[in-house]
Amino acid sequence: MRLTQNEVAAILACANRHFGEGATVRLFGSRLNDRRRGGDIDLHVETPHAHLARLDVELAFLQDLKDRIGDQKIDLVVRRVGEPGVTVDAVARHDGLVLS
Amino acid sequence: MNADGAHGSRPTELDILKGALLSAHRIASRLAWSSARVRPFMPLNGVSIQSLDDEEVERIDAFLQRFGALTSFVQDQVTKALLRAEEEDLSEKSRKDQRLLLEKVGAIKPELEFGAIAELRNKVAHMYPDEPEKQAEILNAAHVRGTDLIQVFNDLLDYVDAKFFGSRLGIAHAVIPDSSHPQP
Repeated sequence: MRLTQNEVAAILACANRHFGEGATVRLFGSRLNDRRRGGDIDLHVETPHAHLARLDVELAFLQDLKDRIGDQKIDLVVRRVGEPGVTVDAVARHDGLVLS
Repeated sequence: MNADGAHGSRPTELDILKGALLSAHRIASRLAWSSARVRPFMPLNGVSIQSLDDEEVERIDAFLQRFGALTSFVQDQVTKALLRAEEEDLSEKSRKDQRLLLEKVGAIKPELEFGAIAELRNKVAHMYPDEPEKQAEILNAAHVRGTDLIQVFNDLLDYVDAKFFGSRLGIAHAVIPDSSHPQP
């Protein structure tokens, strides 16, 4: 995984703040591959708080996170727990690494 | 070319700023026109977005392209040109630092949330075609925020005009037409 401890801590703190306690955050995509360089930070979030799975909350999360880790490219997918997913959800759930 | 139209000498920071605003004005005016062109079928939802005809989809594509273009241009060209005219050192400043500086001097209104607009531009770029509900949510937000974005540009224009050009800059505000059938 190509994230620093500080980046992971920042992601989890922001997820807890914006998507509520119990939100699950997965890293998926190129940042899982230690042999590659660069690339977006692909994050998949599942929140048990349905009212927080909204676009304006996503935008606030992204601004908050970039304040902490710098202006990196972040691709964010947010779902309610149990929400039917599409392809990207299947990929994230299958290949993704739950951040903790 | 400098502010007087003469060739040969290096443009001043104000020449560059004026040029950036002229370019941004063209994009903002086209965005305003596109915003009015998509208004008749906004807001969208997960069902209505799938029943758009080809012309409506093209209108949305044009709107989104201009929304992204103006966001980028304000963020990368106008902001930098303005801060250089203010004699700010940009070498260590992130985009957020630059935005906060412009908010501090009153060139951008914080309530218009230009930072959120920039994030929304990124969400537009990452839309997944198999998520109609999400696409509709992002498109609706872009349509609403497009008005804010045009206001950001108009505010920057007013600030620059008053501060550097003695209200003689001669670039008009971008205005979203009232008619649902605007003329280009």
